[in-house]
Amino acid sequence: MGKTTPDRGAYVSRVRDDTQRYASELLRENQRLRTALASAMHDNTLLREAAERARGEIEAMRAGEERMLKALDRAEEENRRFVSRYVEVEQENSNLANLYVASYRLHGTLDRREVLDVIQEIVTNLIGCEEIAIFETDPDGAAVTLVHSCGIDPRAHDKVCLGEGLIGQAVASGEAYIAGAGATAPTEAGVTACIPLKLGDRVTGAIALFRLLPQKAELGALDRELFELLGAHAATALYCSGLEAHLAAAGA
Amino acid sequence: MQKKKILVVDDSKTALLVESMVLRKGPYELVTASDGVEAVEKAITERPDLILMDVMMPRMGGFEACQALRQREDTQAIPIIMVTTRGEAANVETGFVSGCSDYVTKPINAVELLAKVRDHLGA
Repeated sequence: MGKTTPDRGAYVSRVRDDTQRYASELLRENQRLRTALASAMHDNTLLREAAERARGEIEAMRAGEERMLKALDRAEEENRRFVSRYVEVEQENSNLANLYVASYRLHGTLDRREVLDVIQEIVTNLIGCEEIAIFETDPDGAAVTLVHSCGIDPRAHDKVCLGEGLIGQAVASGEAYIAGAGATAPTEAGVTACIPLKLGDRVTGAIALFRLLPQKAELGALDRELFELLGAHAATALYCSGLEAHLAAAGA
Repeated sequence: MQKKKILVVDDSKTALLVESMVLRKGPYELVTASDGVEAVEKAITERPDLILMDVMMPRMGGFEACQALRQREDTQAIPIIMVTTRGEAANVETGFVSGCSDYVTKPINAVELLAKVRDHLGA
């Protein structure tokens, strides 16, 4: 039996010590990793919770943003409605102002010549037509005679019998003739519109409009209101100016 | 704030009344004239910020008055908006050649007129 040599004993002892030291280091490293893992897991939990909270906040913000966008859309829509209404109201105001001006001008004088000029000015400036004829009913009521014209050949419309053509028909019926929508070009005898002048139910004459101004696309709602106003107020103004002239002549 | 002054020129009292009613909606002081001769005189004495002028007028028409105003140093920079019954290209061209800044056609559209006036006056 050989005895253990000192070299072998020292070698075994060294290996055992190294192994113990290595095992000890491994245990320490293991412990350090356990601690790090526990810390990481804790951090992970915290981050998950934070992420969950952030997700909730983002969702709430998205819902808020959606609500705000919808509110903005509603506000923009309302704004568009207000602008559109503003333009409508402005147009209505302007139309009313035109009706006021027409009435004011017609009743602003008792001079027959001036009344006829005012009718022409109203037709030119407020309706948009420079070709106009104004007729008055003959005493026997069988025809109307031209008393004022502009932009047309007066010889072609000197006298119109009741029921004859668009002008005669409008005078006979007491109903205004207005060319259909989009009709800028005149129809029969070049007439675009004919408005009977009426004192109550009695037709005292008519205003005929021929070609409209090139930029006037068509006769609209305001034109129809002006025709109604002219039908009554121009008739009254002409009647009053005639009466004034008669009284002046009688006085003289 | 000082109101901008507008000289409105038209021989038709009806047109003057309509245009004045439209312009009074804005912060403007109005001066009127009834033909080109009076328009030139009032442009010199009143120094308006803008002139709204009809084309067809007795004594002196709108185009002629426009040319006369453009030849004077003290009135040449005043914006002039012509009011015409004839909106055809040739007529508009004549207006611009005579020195007008812009034009509107009869019958007057209130919204359009106010927009053009604001555009030229910046108010």
